[in-house]
Formats: sequence, structure tokens, C-alpha cells
Amino acid sequence: MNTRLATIALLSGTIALAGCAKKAPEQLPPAPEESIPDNPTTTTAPVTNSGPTVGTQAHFEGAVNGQNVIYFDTDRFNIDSADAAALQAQVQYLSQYRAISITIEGHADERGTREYNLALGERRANSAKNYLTSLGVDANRIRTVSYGKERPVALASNAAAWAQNRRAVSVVIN
Amino acid sequence: MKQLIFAFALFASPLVAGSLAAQTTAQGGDLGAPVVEGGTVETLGETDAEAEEGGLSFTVTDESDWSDIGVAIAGFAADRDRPTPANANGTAALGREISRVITANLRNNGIFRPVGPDSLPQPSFTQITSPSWGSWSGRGVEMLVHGYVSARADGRLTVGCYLYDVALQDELIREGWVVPPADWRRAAHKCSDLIYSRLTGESPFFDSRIAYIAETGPKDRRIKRLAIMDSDGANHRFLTLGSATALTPRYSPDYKKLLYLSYVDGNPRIYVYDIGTGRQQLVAETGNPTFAPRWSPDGRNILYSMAVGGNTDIYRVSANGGRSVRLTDAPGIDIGGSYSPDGSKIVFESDRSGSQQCYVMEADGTNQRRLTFFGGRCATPEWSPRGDQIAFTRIAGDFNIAVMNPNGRNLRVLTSGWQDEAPTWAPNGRIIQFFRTTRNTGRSALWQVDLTGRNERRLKTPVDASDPAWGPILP
Amino acid sequence: MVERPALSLAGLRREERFGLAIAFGLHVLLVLVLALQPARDALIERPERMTVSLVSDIGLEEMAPAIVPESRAAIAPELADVPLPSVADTPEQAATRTAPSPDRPAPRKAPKPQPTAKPEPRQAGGSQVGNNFLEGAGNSRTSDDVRIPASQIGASAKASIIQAIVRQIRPHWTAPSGVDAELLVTELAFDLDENGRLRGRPKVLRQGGINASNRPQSGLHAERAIRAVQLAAPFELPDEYYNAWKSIKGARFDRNLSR
Repeated sequence: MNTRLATIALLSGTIALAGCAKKAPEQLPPAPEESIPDNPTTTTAPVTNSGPTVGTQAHFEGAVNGQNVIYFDTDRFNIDSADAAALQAQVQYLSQYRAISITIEGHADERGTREYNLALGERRANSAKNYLTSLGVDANRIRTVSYGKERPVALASNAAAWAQNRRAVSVVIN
Repeated sequence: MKQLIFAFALFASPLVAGSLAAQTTAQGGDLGAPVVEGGTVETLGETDAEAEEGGLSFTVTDESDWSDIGVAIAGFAADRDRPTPANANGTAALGREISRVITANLRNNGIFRPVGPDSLPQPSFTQITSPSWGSWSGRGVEMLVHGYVSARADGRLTVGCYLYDVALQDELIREGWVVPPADWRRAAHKCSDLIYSRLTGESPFFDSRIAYIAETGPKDRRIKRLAIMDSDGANHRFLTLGSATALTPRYSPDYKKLLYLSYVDGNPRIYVYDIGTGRQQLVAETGNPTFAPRWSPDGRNILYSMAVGGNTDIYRVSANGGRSVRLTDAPGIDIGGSYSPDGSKIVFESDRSGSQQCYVMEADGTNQRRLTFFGGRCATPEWSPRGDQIAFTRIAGDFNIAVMNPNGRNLRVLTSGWQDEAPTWAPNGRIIQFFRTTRNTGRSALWQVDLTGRNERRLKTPVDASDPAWGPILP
Repeated sequence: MVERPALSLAGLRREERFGLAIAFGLHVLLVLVLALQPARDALIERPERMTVSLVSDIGLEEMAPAIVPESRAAIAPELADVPLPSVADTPEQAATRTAPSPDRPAPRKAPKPQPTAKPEPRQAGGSQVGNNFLEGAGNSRTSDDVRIPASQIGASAKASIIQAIVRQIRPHWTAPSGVDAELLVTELAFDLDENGRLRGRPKVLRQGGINASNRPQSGLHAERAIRAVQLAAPFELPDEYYNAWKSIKGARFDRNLSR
């Protein structure tokens, strides 16, 4: 009798615990906010003498804290929330330095045929460009180039490497 | 009493059953063994009608495995050993070189078992037209190739090629060509084509050239150069320096020009490259990127794909320039395009359905309909020069080369690599060339496979290679 | 709780115990017999490859026309349904007694039924046993051919002749390869002389299985079939059945990929 009670109690306890398992949140918390450098608008002189000059890629990448690259899913070219945040940072930079033009390079991973990937890279670059122009950047300041699968950054043949290669990179035109 | 009888029956039954079982297990092998295969069952087609005709009827069935055709290619004889620009050692040595080229051609195509001149006695010039049958059949030779080389007064070479059936002691075919010394290999290819066609029934393909992209360098900074070579890899030439990436070349049907994609001005654009002059010209004057150049079978039109605002469509323009005609306008990526040999239809790839699939349309862009419905994706479709098959890259996990009928049915997958893509047809529509990329290293090489799926082999190129394009038969 | 019967032997009656013991003993015996069977041959010999000829029709009479229109082979006389008057009996009986030809073909045919003359009673037929009947010669006046006429050669004789021909042709026959080439079928006709040599060139009667993919190989298929026959000649076939293999009217050549 005691053992039976104990068994029942154990089982019901287990079931109850299982039911209380936590689910992953449906929405990931947003990426940490970018801290824009405090220096406001007017000066074109660099903040410190040793930093990169405006108009160089290094300055741009520093300013957007590395978010000049946005990533895509396989065969997709849509701007998701992470991409949107990165592009907003780029918009902020471009509104700050109005003389700068950029090229958006579209890339694809190696797991696609060559010509289709050229078109897909172009689609991704265009997607990013459209988002930037929708946020107010002049379309004449943005060019697009597709490199298809010709310029990977990650050289392995696995899903992680491919995820890094499906990207659109904003590059300052010197 | 009844109980006793019943009991006896109980005891007896296992005994009886045991003895029966013993017998059947002894013969169990016979009953259980599979039916012997291979016994010929000859159906005598003796219907009443045939019996009344008189004479016997029967069937002879070939059940052997595929066997290669044994061909002996004796060295080509020279009537007189004369010096020739084609070979440092004169026409006699040239004759043996020609035979070696023929032997390599036939060996590489999987249907023949050739024996080359180096393992055979060299026939004399008079024996070319009257072979010594006895000695050849003594060597077990089925088919025999003889030929001669003769240097003419103007320096050109006359090359004659003869094919004999040793068993029947019969000449099957003969032909001769006059070639400039620099083109002596073409005579060897013409002879290989003669033998190949006569013994397989297929059209020739050896006398043709291949354009491709030669690759060197690390995976993230590849140097890609335009290159051309003969179908057997000889007479190789680089056409660009490699400072600008070159991709996806296509030979014009008259071999005078090449279409290809170049990043020479920083953007992907299509150019027509004139091989004779070395000059190149933009196909479409537009600010938009253009990809995937294609020739029409008569060489008069060029297909290309242009991306406008991220949406890629196929356009046609005359090879002499002029206005472009837009052929597709679906949202999404429509790219590529391969004409049927009669120029009436175009097969292309499009992702308008959500994934890359193959579509076909009339040459003027009307009646676009989807072809591929068998799961997986279809990319880079290419219509066979014979018109009876379409080759494409089939993506279903791995990338493989596959063929299907022009109505989209009868899919056959021909290769099984990790990433095989971009098929191109040999001029006779029976062999497909493609490039295979290795996992991780990203290195690529040109490979070939027969339409029946047999004889998959790698082509030797000076460096890594991709994007092959096979030109038509040289006239 | 159901009461189970105790499993002790004490609960059985004497007969039951006895019977149980016998049954047990016999089962043990059976097991021993099976276990101690002499070891079989490890491999049952597979039967030799056998050519099986399926003859679709076994007619009581061959419906062939007279390939040898006139033969001097001895033919037994036909007995009439209605016996003639006794005077004529004697010469007939003498004829029937001498009828059996020493060269009778091995499979003795059943008596020829008359295809058209069934309703009428058979007449007494003339015997064609000539003076030289011992050598198997009849008294045909128009031919010197003493072999068995085609009409008399049996189905199984023909079957074995066919097997011999096929056996001699097959080593030389290789079908061409190609897309759908295994669908091709070529039918040839050819004639042979008495020594088994080809008379003239085999002719192509018809080809089948041609589609757009294998059309280029169809000519090659026919050529190779002809070549196979040419290489197989001269054929080694029995002389006395020459009239059967004199003319081949339907030699089919195909390819079987099912192995």
C-alpha cells in the first residue's frame, strides 16, 4: 500500500514537472542597442587624431560597429530584424556623412549554381539598397554589385560557413 | 481402447512427420533453390503463317556484358619520309603521332578497346590499302585502322584513313583530308570521328573545341581566366590575363567569337570576344548587370539575362547589335536559356514558383510553361544538339548532372558527385561535360560522362577548371 | 484465484504416465534420427544449363509445303479404308511388308491425316517404293534427292537443328551499345548450301524497337547481325535434315539485359 502510494506520487510529480518546462521565447530579445558616437553633426574632422579618416571603409565599419554586413537565409533575400537594425545603423552614418557613397556587394554561398547565384547576389544587394532608400538615403549614393559565389569569406563547406557567406556588404566608395 | 488408439496415433504422428520431414529436407535444396537463371528459352516463332512459309525461325539473344570493340590502330605510314613543320622528325614520325592521337581519342570514350601503334608492327605504305590479313587475325584483332601521311609540294599534308574488318577481311570505310601542317591534329580527329561513327552509328564529335574558365589561387581570391582547347585537351590557350574575373564562356557556332562574363569594369557584364583580333565588346549597353550569355544555334542571336532592381529576366539581341527584346517578365529570377537545335524553343531556369525549376517557352517568349515537377530543383538546362534530351543540374541534396526528355519526363541522373554542375553537350549529343567541385577545398575540375551514365572520367587541364562550353564540329 | 492443477507426477494415473513416457521416448528418438541424418552434399548440383525449346504448335502433320517437291525417299504406301477385293490384296500386302524404309527418321511421325480428304474414304495409295528401296530411294522420276522431305521432318528434329544454328551464331553476335539500343530487334533471312555455307548475303526482313534515340544504331544492328551469320558460316548441321535448314526465314537478333 505504501509503495503504491509512493509510486503514484512519484509519477504524478514527474508529469507535473514536465508540464512546467520552459519554452523558448517566440521572439528573441532585440540585439543590444548601438551606441552612436556622441559627437554630433557638423565636424568632418576625426574625433581623435589616430582614428581612421572619414571616407574610408575602416571609419565606416568602426562607426557602425561592424554592422556593414547583413546576412540572409538560404535562397532568401528578405531583410529580417537583425538586418534591419544593421541597416538602420548604416542609414544613421550615411545621414551624418552626406558626401559618402557606398556600394552594396551581394553574395551567395557555394551551394548554388553559378549564374543563379549571381542573380541572387544582385537580389540581395538590391534588397538592402531598397531598405536604405526607404529610410531616406538618396538612391544615387548607393550602387549594387553582385559577386555570386565568387568571393566567400568563410572557406569551409558546412552550414556555418555558408551562413557567413550569404551576405550583403556595404563598402564605402573612395 | 479408444484412448489407446488415440494415444498410438499421437505417438505415431511425430514419427511419420519426422520421416516425411527427413525426406523433404533431403530434397529441400531442390525446392528451395532459386530457379537457375540464364537458361536460354528460345521461342520458336512457328505460327501457322510462318510454318507455311517454310524455313526455320529462331532468336539469337546477346546476353553478354557490354564489351568494348577491339580496334588496332597501326602507325600511319608515310610514302616518303619528308620533313614537315608538323613534326620535328618528319612525316614517318608524324604518322605514328597521328595514330597515338587516334588511340587516345578512342580509348577515352569508353566504347573501344584500342591498341596503339607502339604495341603493333608498323605497316608499310603499300600495306595500307591491302593489309596482311593473316598477321592481324593471328593477333586477335577485330577491327583495324590503317592510314598514310603524305607531304605535298605546297607543304600541306594529305592524310588518308582506312577502317578494316579483319574477321570478314573487308574494308568498312575510307576517307582522306588535306590539312595545313599546323592542323595535323585535326586530321587525326577527323579519322577518329570516321571510325567512331562507323562503329557506333553516332555522329562525330572529336574535331571540336572547348572553352572554359581556368582557375588558380585560394578559395576566397580565385583568379579566373578564359581558356580554349581541343576536345582532347591539346592546343591549349589562355585568352585573358586573370586580372578581372571571367566566367561562363560560350563558343559561337562558327568558332570565331566567344561570349563571356567579365568584371573588367568592376561590374558583371557580358562581352563578345573576337578570337582572331583579341578585341571585345559589350553586348548590352546598360547600367544594369548582365549575366548568362548564350548563342542561338545559327549564331545570329544572343540571349542574355539582365537584373533590373533585383529582378532578373531573359533578353534577346541580334549578334550584330541593336535593340534587345525582352522574353520573360515574371517576378523573380529568370536566367539562362538554351535553344532547341531547330531554334524554335528555349528552355530556361526560373524561380517564379518559389524554387529553381526548368521552364520551356517558344523562341519569341510566348507559352512559358514549367517542365520539371519531380522534386528537387532544376538549374542550368541545356538542350542536346540532337534535340532528344535536355541536360541540367539536378539539386536534391547534392548537385548532380541529369537528363530528361524535352517534355520533362524520363529523368535520369547520370553522376553522383557532391557538386556537379553546368552540363554542356558534345556536338553529337551523346557525351556531357560538366565541372565538379570538391568539398571544402573548393577546387574544381572538368569531367565527362556518357549519356548512358557510363565512362565518367576527368579531363586533364593545366590548372583547375570550371564552366566548360563545348563548341560544334569544326567543318 | 483459480486453483491450478498440481504439476506433480503423482497426480497422473498409471496409464497416463506410461503414455507420457512413450511419447517422450519417441520424440527423443525422432530428434536423434533428424540430428544423425547422414550429411547431405553441401551443394546440390545445379542442373546444367539447358536449352529449352518451346514449340508452340505440335501438329500431327507438318503444314510445310514441299520444299523438296519431289523426293526419291521411300514413302510407305497408304492403306485404304475400304479394302480392295482379295485379288489386289496380295500385291499390296507384299508392298506393305517391304515398305519400312531403313532410313526412317528417328521420331516416327503419326500417320498423316489428310487435311482435305477427310470426308472421303481413303483410297489405296500408290507406294513409291522403287526397285532400289533398300537404299531409301523411291521411284520419283523428277528428282534425285534422297533426303527426307521437309514435310516429313518432325518438330523436335527442327528444334534441335535450331539449337545447333543458334549455338553457332551466338558467339559472333554482339549488339551495338547506345541509348535504348537494347530495344532493337533485327530479323534476317538467309539460305545455306549443302555444306552449310552461306548462299549469298543475308537479307534484312524487318527491324523493330526503333525510336528516335536508337535510330542511328539500327543500321549498325542489322549490319552486325549479318556479320554474325557470315562469321558463323559454314554451319555444321546434319546432312539428312538439309531440307529443313536449307532456308532460314526468320532469324531474330536482339539483346537481353535482364541478367
